[in-house]
Amino acid sequence: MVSRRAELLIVIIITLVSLLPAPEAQFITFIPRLLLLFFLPGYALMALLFPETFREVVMRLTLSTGFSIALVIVGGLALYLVTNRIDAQLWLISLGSFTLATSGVTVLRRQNTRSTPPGFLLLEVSDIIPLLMIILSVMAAVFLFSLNRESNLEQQAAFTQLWIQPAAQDSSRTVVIGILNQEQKTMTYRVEASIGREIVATWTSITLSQDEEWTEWVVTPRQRAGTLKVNLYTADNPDEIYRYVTLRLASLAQNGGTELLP
Amino acid sequence: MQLFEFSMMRVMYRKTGINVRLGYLRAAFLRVSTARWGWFPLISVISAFALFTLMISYNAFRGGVGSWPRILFWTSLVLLYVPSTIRLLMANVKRSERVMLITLLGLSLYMVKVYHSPNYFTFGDELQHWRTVDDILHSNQLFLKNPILAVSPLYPGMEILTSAVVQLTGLDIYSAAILVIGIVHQIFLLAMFLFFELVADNPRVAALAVLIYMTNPMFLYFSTQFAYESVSLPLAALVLLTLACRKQIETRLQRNALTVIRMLLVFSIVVTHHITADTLFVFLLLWSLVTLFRNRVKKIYPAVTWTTTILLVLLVLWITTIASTTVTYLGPSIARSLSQFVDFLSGQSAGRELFKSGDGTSAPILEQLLGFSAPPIITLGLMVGLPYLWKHYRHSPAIITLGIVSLAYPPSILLRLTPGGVGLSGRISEFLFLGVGFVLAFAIAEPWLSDTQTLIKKIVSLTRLSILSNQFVKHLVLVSALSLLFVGGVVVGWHPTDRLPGKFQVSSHGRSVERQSLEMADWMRVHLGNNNRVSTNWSNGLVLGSYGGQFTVYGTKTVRTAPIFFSHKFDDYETAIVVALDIEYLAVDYRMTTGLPVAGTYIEGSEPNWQHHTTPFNRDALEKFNDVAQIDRVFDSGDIVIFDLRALLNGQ
Repeated sequence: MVSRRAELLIVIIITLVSLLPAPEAQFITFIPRLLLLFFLPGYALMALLFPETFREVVMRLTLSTGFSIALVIVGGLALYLVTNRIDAQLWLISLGSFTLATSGVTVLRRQNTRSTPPGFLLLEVSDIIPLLMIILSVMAAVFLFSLNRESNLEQQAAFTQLWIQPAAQDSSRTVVIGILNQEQKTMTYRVEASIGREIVATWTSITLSQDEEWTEWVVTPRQRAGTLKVNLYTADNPDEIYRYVTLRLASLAQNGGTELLP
Repeated sequence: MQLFEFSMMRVMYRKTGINVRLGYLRAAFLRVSTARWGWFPLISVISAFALFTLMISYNAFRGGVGSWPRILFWTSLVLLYVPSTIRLLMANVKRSERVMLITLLGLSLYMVKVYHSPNYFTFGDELQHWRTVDDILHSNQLFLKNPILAVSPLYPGMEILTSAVVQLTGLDIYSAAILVIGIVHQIFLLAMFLFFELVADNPRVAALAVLIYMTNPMFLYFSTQFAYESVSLPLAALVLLTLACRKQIETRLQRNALTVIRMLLVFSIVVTHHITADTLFVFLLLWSLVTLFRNRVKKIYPAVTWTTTILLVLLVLWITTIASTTVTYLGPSIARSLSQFVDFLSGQSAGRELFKSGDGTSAPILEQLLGFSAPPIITLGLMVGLPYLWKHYRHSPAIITLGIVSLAYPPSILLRLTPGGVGLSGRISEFLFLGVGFVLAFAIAEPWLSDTQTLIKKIVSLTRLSILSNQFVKHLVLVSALSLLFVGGVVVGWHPTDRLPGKFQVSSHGRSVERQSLEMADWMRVHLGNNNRVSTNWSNGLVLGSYGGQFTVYGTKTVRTAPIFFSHKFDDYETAIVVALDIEYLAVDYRMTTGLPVAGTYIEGSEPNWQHHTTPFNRDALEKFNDVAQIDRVFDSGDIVIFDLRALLNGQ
């Protein structure tokens, strides 16, 4: 059995742990911060306002969580109206100080009372096997979820991206060409860049593994008209255009260069 | 020992042939039934197994393997729902076990939705709210414009909560959202249980009411998606709970404190979801009026009346100061639903084909039959429960109010007969089932199962089926009926294409968001920056507006985007549309040419043959952009091509 005063001290300790700076202590603060959002403020408020009422476990848990959620929503809105922003620091300060203040007041008030009502965390030895069954079931559900995530990604359709963009603003003749392999296997590509019938650049063998990206900068010839076309071929089918992109040279001129438009 | 349990054991002996002394097993069975945890551990294991079969079925669907996974899917749902149903119908179950079973069932059914989309959101509503969270995180500001759902930033409650989780824990938006919805969903079930328990003063009725609530068509997928209603509904249940538990408070100071907290809850609902706030107002108003008339206008229930008044004031204040577009957002769709319904009743329109999606596919016949089974069962239950409640419980205004709410269910079903009414009927069911669940729970727990079997005697005398007076048979009938309700609700609530994962389908609520679209959105965000004005098809518009961080351009009342895509040529008219709407990019998805749109829409609501497409999108219409001199083709991933139209805007 845990006394009510001890429960409030636990609340205070968890709140203080949640205030530790992350990311240095992220794995320590993760659960406490979740509790700070979803449970602690409401529980502290309940303990202060209704020490002898709503003592039944489910009622107290439900009301504590519900009040915490409402506090976060309304509190977030209030924070924004006062400070014109909401960020992690403001959350920690507001929720942390609220919880600490209400818990602290409650603990101090209870120091004046003669008896401390018993807490509600009651577990017995006979609970071991049922608890084990429940915990294993929960673990199984979580494990299945992670398996599900992996297989969902694996079963997605395969594709390759080809793209073209003007390069940096200060150069009106440079383009960036990119390829991303999402074919779920290693692929070998051939890339050919041309303006009209003139081939200006070619890359004969680009091998990319799954999720690998290739980018190349290309300086286009100094000319005023025409379209740069980039064709992508695969090693499996070297004569068929697999992907293609186009970029008018006039588009390059307007991106910060000094070239005059026709 | 309960007759039901004894009968079950006899069946087990006959099936297994094991010659064991009845007394030993009976004693063991009793020990399990009356033990601290009851059947809960066993049902936990069964639920884990059910989720395992569900995962297998989902994987098979994604792999495009035949139709046998459908059987596995339904088997897993039945395995999740039925064991808890059997146990909750029993009389000698401890309150703690009922609560644990409700919690377990709620969590397990939530996992059905989570397993459906385990890596990212795929439902349209979720993407819309994802954008609002993303905007908050990037700017630390509220009320920023959301191009894919204008009202979402105006009701930022859920997004405030989710962004707080992201900011404090470092989780990504998807993981934080799953956590948020999981927690509030459980709180919703517990709050409902506690409210019903206080009103009925009976934990068995309360648990059954929650169990029946879970059969509402929106419960499995809609109530668990990342949308503002999923957070506001639990808060509304908490408001009702604080009203019901007011009796437990002795001091005036504590009553006032609870009132203040209730107002906090009310305000959090007002800033989270419009419809929930409106519906809660209607419910509380009804409750106030019932109290007034029950007490012959001598006495009102001040807590309920004050809450109703404050809710109305806050609602009006919020809409007039912050969320004025709510009226223009909700008004037309509600008006359209009602006018279609009136036209249908007057014979001016034929209504919609039931169980048929926008691409013309119909649900399997068996599913249709299951879908049709729910309304008559519920109506029958109401016919039993409502007179019983009126006879024995009409002294309770809360019970009368719930009864009145349940009466709205049968007419609400008729809304499903019109295209516009489907959505409205579905949304309403989430609220109406509070009353329906409560009334049916009473009908089950008292007239049907209780020892004072007046109703059973009447039915037996009418049908001459004396077997109906057998407790085991009665339980069997109830388990079957509730299972039918549950399965029927799933069938009605979500189209088969949307409720099961699988290969890409055009304009599907659950199958149009996949990796190629997501990578395209990511590319735009990385290489083109945020908030570029882009026009595209319906599903990619949601993806680009959310994950892509772009400004999806939709048509206005006078200028539509659909002609850009549907036209076979690109000349002055199409150019004028691009200029008028300031469209910088087009994202063209050639998969529109591979099938009909499940949701009935390729691009937008005003497109040709909207909701009545009979042929896939014409490919030539999409190829025309390649021949326009001023358009650059800057991205190609096979199915999706992005065209740069800025030269057209600049008049080049």
